[in-house]
Amino acid sequence: MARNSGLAFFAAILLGATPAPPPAADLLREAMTAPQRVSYVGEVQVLSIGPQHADATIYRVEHRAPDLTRRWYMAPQDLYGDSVVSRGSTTYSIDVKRQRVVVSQGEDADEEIAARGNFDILMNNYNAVYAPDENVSGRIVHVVLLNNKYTGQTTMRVHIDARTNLVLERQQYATNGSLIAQTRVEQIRYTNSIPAALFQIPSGMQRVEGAAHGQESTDVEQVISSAGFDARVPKYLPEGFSPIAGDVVSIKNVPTLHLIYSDGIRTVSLFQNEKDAAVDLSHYHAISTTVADHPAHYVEDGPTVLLAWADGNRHFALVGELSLAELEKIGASVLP
Amino acid sequence: MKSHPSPEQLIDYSHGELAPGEDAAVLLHLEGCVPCRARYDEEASLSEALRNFAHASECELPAGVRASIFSAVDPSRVQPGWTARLAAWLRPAVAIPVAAAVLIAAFAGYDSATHRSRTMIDAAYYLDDHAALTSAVPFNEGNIVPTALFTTENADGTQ
Repeated sequence: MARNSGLAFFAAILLGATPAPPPAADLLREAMTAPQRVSYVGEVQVLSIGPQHADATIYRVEHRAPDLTRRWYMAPQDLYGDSVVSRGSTTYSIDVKRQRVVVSQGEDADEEIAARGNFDILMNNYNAVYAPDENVSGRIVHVVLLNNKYTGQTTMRVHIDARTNLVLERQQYATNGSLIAQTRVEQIRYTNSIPAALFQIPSGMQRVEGAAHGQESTDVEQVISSAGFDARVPKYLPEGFSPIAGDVVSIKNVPTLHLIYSDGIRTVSLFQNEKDAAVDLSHYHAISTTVADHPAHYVEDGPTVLLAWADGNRHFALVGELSLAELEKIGASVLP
Repeated sequence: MKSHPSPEQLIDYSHGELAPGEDAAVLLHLEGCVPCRARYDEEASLSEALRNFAHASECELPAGVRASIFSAVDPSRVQPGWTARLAAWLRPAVAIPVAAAVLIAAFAGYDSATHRSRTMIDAAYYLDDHAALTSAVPFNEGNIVPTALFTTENADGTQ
């Protein structure tokens, strides 16, 4: 079988035709790691579409494989001139207006392991099937649809460069079928001559520590037991969702447990503390609702919804790209 | 202090009536501003003259006057009974302000008990942390724009 597909591949090359792509799931796996092998420059347009309005972000990107990336923001106006440089697991957010560099530390190795595990979750919950090839920025792309196994709905379309396996376009859909996010790489140029100096951090700016995101762990049970209080977990999750990671972080001296659940594409985070530390929604347009008869508020940030409520001194926040109704149902199942 | 102190500020300064910060600012200004120093000296000399005049005008009461006042005050007459004292407390002029003070104190106590210096955590932190931890999800870029570029707040909540 393998020999036959190899022969077909070489026959296709000899005949000048595009070789038949590998199984869709294999191509997706290749696409996940393509940035580790491919260097490129281009322009990325990101659309985040909420129920009422959409936000657009445009940035120039220079990526030198395996792990040097610079994003230079062109829009929105407030970000113009700012940039983010990723050097391995460290991210430098360069804020030119405030003349400061915010340094955030990630955990590369763990992320790779987590990504592999999460890919398995993705494949457990979604069928990857090909749609007809398309053209993005003058390049032939294979289009892979990820259809939810429980609902049959297409949740994501991934456009993968037929030559480099890099993802050039991606669309995500809500459960009602509406588009909620789109990322598109334009004017892409593959090159191996991107100077390292491009990824240098400018000197003379104040350096500050970025928000600590805690020691993210995929051992969720261990994270829960390390919270220092009797943590609650949801009894209900949408089909296919399972815990994938968590961390405990001190925010303003308040130990906060963060658990994250995913079905491989969609994600939801549950934050909780028992120190009566409420969520400050004053910078957002908060709308009142209830979670199992408890007064609650929610805000929308593009397709992401944040739902906050309290039960005595215990404060909860659910954040995810799910509908408000689903978040309220999850929230109600968190209460005793 | 960039502007010159007002005449009222100079008078209050000379009498030590300003708040500590304002007092220090006026002192600093006077050390470097000749016109204001002159105004202050003028004010101080006028105050001193008035004080000297008042001191010179003071008269001791004649020796017997004070004694006769105290002897005229009969302790049994100035100590009212408990009913009279209660009635005095229940006069509207006393009772209404007291009741208002009690109500304000009760409300303040209730308010501080229910809203006692609660720590507030900006929703942006949760959105940011959610995005950061979802970066390991396949085909999810995590934070498209780090929140750090939108806020002046540091990781520990300070500005």
